[in-house]
Amino acid sequence: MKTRHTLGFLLLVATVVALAVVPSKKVVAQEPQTQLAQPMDDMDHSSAPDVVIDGSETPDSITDRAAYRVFLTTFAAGKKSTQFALDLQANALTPAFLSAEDATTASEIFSDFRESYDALLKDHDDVAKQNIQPDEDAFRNQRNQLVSSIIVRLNTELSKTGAKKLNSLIQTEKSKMRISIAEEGQ
Amino acid sequence: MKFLKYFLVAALLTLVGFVPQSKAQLSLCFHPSYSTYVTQVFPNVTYQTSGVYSIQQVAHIIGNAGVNGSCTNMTSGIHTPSVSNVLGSYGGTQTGPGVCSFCQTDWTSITSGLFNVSTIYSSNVLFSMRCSIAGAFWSFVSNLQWEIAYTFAFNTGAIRNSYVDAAGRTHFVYAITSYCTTIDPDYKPATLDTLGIYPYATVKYAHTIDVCTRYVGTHTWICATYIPGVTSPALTTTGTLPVQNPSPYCTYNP
Repeated sequence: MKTRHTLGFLLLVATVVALAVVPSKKVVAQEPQTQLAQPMDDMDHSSAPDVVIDGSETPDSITDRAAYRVFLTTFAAGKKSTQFALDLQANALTPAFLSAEDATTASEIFSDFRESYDALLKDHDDVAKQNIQPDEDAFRNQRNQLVSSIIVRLNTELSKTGAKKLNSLIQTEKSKMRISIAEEGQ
Repeated sequence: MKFLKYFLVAALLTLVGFVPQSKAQLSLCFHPSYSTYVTQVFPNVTYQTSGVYSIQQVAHIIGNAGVNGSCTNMTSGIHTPSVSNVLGSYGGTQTGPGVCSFCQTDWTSITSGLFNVSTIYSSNVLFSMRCSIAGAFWSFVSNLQWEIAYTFAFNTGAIRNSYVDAAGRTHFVYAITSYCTTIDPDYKPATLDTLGIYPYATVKYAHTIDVCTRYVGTHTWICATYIPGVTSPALTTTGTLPVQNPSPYCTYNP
């Protein structure tokens, strides 16, 4: 009788351990409630840590391509953009003090970037919406190639002075960026 | 019979959450990879004698989190960005569009307000991402200080460059220097781009302004155009120079 109780207790312990280790949809689904009840600083991020470059600390560690990409995705307006977006782009470029000709050329190049970038983003998200993990490396490579080609265009189609002014502006803006290494890609 | 009893008790204890869930199981559901960018821009900058300027604070987030293969129950979640985009007494929390768990987030939040020149403002921008299933899973706070810096600049008369713009107008780029002797202004523009119709004899000085930023913990002001060779937004002025180094003419916040 005592042996049967011991075996029963061991079974209880083994079952508890086994059920705790096996992933449980129910328990995972409870996690949001726990997170919502916690302040942001104390939350369980439920995520793997990311490696970032903090431009406020080491702006020179941010590549030009990453800085142009973040600047362009933030401010580049396209042909279908609202007047507000067009104005915001103009405001962002004000400190570069481009000549009228360079400003027009830059707007055209920015518009081309917006059109190509939005198309890339749509292709990526069309796959993602089917609950399929898109090929992130391929997406980032395509996006980075696009940015590189835009930088070449800015350096060749703007006047030498204009390209230098725009580049100087973006170099300064690096200190206000925080770049995820994984998000940037190779 | 007793085996079955023990089994049922164990199962019940687990279901009611008696056994703590391993954090390790949850820790790798997402791989958040987000880049952020916070900056201030001038809409339609012109010199204001009132010393009050309109500023836009732009907060941008880009990236995605994906879902680890072992967390398949998370793939139907919607990932939504939000940002506490506060600029002085303006702004608040804004929420962007939700996207599917594998989709890219690429969203910009903008707050606008009116601000005084030479005053230091604090700006705490809190980015966060929330999954409709897992809850908040990523956040980042950008703490920075910024000011609208003003420097009364003196035209040295030395021409650094000249060019003809698309309208056929000749521009001269003059070397300028801050018109302050006892203090080092936060904003130090090096050149002034002015139309050739204004010769040096009439362009004596310029009102130069810019938005300057410094992150909490550092003491160096970073101004968008504080780069040699790049001209600042400015209003050129002719006439008699005022007494040199009037302190209100140069922003200095150590």
